[in-house]
Amino acid sequence: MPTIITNKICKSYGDVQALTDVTLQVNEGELFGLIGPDGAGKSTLLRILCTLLVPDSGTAEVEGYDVVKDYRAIRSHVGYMPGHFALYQDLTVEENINFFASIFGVPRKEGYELIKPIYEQIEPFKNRQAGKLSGGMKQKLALCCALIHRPKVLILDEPTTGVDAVSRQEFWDLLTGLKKQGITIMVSTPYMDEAMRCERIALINAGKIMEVDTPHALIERYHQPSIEDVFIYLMGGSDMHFDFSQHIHPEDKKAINVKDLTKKFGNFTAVDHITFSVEKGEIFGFLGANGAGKTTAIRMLCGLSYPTSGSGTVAGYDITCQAEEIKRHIGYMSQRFSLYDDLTVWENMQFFGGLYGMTREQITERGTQLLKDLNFYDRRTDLVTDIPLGWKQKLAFTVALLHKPEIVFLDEPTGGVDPIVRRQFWELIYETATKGVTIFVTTHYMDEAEYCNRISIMVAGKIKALNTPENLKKEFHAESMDEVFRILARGGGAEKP
Amino acid sequence: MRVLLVVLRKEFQQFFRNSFLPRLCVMFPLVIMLVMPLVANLEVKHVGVVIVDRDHSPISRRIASDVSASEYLSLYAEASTYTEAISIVEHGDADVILEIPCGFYDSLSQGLEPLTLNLSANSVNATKGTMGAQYLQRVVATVIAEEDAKAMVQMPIAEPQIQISTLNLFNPTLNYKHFMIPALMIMLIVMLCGFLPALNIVGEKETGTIEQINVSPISQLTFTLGKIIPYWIIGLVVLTIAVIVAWLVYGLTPKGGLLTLYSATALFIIVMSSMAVIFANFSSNMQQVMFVMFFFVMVFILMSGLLTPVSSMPQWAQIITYGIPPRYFVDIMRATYLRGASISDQYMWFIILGGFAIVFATAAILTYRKQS
Amino acid sequence: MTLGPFIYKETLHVLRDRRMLFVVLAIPVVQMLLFGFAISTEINNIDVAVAYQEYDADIRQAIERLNANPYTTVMGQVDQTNAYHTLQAGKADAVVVFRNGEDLQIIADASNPNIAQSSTAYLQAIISGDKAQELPVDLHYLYNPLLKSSYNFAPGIMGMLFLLVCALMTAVAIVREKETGTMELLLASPVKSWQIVISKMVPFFVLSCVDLALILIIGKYLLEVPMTAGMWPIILFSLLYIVLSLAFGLLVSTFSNSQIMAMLICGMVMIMPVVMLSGMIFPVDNLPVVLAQISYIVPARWYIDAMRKLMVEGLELSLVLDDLIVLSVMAIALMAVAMHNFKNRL
Repeated sequence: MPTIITNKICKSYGDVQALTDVTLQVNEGELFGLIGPDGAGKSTLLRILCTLLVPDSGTAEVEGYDVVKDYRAIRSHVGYMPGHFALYQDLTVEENINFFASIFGVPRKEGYELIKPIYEQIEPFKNRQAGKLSGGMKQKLALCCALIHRPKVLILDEPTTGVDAVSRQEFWDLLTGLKKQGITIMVSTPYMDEAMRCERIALINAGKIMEVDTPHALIERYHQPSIEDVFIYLMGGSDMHFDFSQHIHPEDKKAINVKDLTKKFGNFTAVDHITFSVEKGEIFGFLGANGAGKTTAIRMLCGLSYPTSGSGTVAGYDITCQAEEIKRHIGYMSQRFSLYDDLTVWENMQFFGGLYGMTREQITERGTQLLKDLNFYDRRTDLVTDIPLGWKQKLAFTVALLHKPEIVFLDEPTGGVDPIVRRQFWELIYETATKGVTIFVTTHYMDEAEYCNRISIMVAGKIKALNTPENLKKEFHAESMDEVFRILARGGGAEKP
Repeated sequence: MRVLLVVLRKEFQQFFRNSFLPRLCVMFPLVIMLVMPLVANLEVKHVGVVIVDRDHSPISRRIASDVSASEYLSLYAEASTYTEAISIVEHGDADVILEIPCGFYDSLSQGLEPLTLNLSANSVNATKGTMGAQYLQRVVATVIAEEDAKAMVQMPIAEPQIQISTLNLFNPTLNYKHFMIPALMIMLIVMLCGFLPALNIVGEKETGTIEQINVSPISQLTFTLGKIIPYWIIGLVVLTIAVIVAWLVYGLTPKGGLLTLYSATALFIIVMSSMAVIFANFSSNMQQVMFVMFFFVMVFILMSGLLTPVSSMPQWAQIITYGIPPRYFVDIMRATYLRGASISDQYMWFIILGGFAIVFATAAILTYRKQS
Repeated sequence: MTLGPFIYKETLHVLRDRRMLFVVLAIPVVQMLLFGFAISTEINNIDVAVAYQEYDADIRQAIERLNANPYTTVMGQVDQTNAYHTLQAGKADAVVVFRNGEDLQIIADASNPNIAQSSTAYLQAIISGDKAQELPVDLHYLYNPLLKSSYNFAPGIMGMLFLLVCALMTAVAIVREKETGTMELLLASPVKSWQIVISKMVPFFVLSCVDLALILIIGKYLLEVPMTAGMWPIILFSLLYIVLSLAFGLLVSTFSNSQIMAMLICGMVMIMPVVMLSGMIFPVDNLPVVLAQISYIVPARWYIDAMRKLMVEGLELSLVLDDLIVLSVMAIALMAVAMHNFKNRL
């Protein structure tokens, strides 16, 4: 008998219809994926199953219990992991686990066997506060917390967003392991490669289920090469229609050149003597596992943080003593979305352009052009808060380009957005690069890494590899960047005896 | 300069887009100026009096009727025993007990050593207790003096009495509201120009937008000015609302001139909002900055002479007040509003306040770090 | 489950935020000390300037008396026409003008009406000196013979502080869990909502008790507040008031979605009325009728009233029975509404 049954569930928030007639069945012991773009209704559905929300109409059952009437019973049987690492940031790893064990009324030992393989990886940090862990660590800790009471059903809401490829891989290995122990798992994700690891998936868009089947069956049914293409096909999106490598001609001038750059926090070395250079006009992928020191390195390059030692230049200016000059010549789009929510798109442009000393006319001229290229000019007076995530990311990128910077730093620009927007975003990156702007980008999507001219892979504060994607694949005898990354990160990051 | 204008425009766009802040900046001064003067009333009137009259003489009746007639005292009851009177005080119905001993009138009228009246004042509220006792003493003194005068008709006057008259300058009607209004304006400025900029900056830290500013070539000076100037303008607008209310509702105008008023306020806002920026620079979340700010605002309000006179403090406390900027502002505001002092009359205080403004603003600029 | 580990976790949250902990514990101490030793409404120094045309024996005598008095300081002689300006510039609190003959005028700076009245009365008494008759009055002050303003303000501080610690901090603590998303986890677990609520409250309850202890110790041993009625009624009342504040904080948390909103609601709905209508600083007797009526629904008014009676006047519990009943009813009602409104879903 199915573990999870939903029957014609509808849910709306005010005027927004979040779910329409969602009918699904998840079998016992199944690993079921819920795939869809940002705002498709994934979280709403999962929250209804966790008894956190009440559906407007329709019924749902988990383990034979009704989600409305028998919510208490469900709450003790279900493990739930919300989308944004809901942990107590000011408690240590161990305190978090102990706490969650206690609220489910189980002794910690009981659940320990189940979480042991995960917990061993974070055990060295058990006295560190959760807020100071890297993304991958947080994710593992959150999973430990969700599993500590040995639930029969595990509901995971975008557990891998913002997590590096290796950790994602490990995470899915863990899920497969859990499945073998008979736990039913329902997981939502925007990553298409993860969809392949599910037994069955449901494609959801705008609150409606479009397809439910095994990934392979879907690929065959729609005659597409991958599940990502199935998704794009169903969403009515188009293929990547550019051939990038031909258009970009890096000049033989150094945009970034650093030597022995080091940053220490107390006795912890976040960035350990890194040396590399980036050519002008290049798309440079700066990869690394969570906590490898990427963000710290970028912050030094952008003049947000002083290096402990080492030297370097960005756009020809020294990073130790000419930080303000550097800032004049770079654009920056950070991991956390940073346009002002309470201003309109146009006002944001006026503000950020003005910060760089542009005149009103210059901003108007350049802003108009950029927004028209993006087909967003007509909506320029919309408040940023009302714009969907994917658009926000594109706009943030556009704003970062406003003052015609020589180098643009993009820190995980595509985190959590759906494949269509990701493709559009990379088209934007290419267009920008063809105009001679140097792009310095970090990402956890290994398919995106393949789009870069050159990539570096950082492991534990050091750069372990730096080359073109092709050469790297050859060097490590790997099929894909994903594999290269795994070989490197496994080898250096989580060394095990 | 152009960058500063851009920053200012953005701050105002955000301010006006907010559904709450503009309303707060109009409603808060209105409520404070309209309601607080009715509430913030430390004047002592209608102090309840219980008389334990054992004398039952013309003079005791005279005292009772004078108490009833006084606008500062009101006769609550006449009790027959002291115990009864105390229980009235314990129930909170009266605050002062006057016990008139049996034979008091006789001792006076016969020119003997007068018997002692027993006066007990509830001094839980020290001001009320002392003032109530004082008023009652005055009543008694007048009655006794009249009695004496009657006696003196028979005996020729030995010494002429000095005639003492009093003149109350600057607030001739002794209106407590007039005393409180400048103080309320100060509270408005302290609250709005203290809390708002602090919350604003910490808010940018929490949402992460401050990163985007730190990575731009904006200077520390421009950024800090961009955060202080909006509250400078808002503060002056709030002051204007308060001044208009004071004039329309209470008929009070700054006798020392608007220029004095506005220039002092302008300096003081710089001090307050710079302080807010400094706290915000060292805090990572709103709750933290709220509590730290609250602590300082509390000390400022208590120690600046806003509610209680600085001259009543012990020497060591008075010395501390010299280091508290609002102390000078309180002095200036009251002097300007009530006594009509102009800038030249109090230039020392202006210089000191200006000094504070420079020091705090500099500290605000220096503690803002674009690079860690 | 037992509440122990849950409470332990909440306590850790409170202990990890050192800066806030410091402020919460420093506020009552600093306030009590300031009110106890620094702030006074008593007038103990009057700066006097004198103005006269012809110096004579009477004037000399009067000035000597002013000089000899510890509460007055003679600032010097001013020209009679300059009296106004002297006061305006704040160089003196009053000018005594000796006119030719027997006439004498005290010109006072009446900006502060209370000071003006006291100081003119005082000056009159000094100047008339032995010529005036000694009043046959034996004056003594009840409950607060040293006239310390801390006696009056200590209950006010408590009324304010417990609201701040219990209501504001509880509300913010609960809303913060909503903001960070951990509330979702708690709700999706078998924990019952009353368990969440109680565990949130316990650390703040304890913190308030520490504050209460600090206030009582400072009050008793440093400021020598009598507290003749004994500690227990005071503690009983304070605990009741603390529970009421916690309930209020919980109620606020049920309808705020962000920490800012919780803080603003607490500030507007609690702190303002408490400062204005509870008698904390400004006597309730002075309130205009409408506001006086409104003040009856402000819990702090009842608490502060009872505290004054118990701590300073040392009255028996029977005299504050009405306060006790009103506060109990308010506490129960608030707690019931808050618990009812606390949703066990998102």
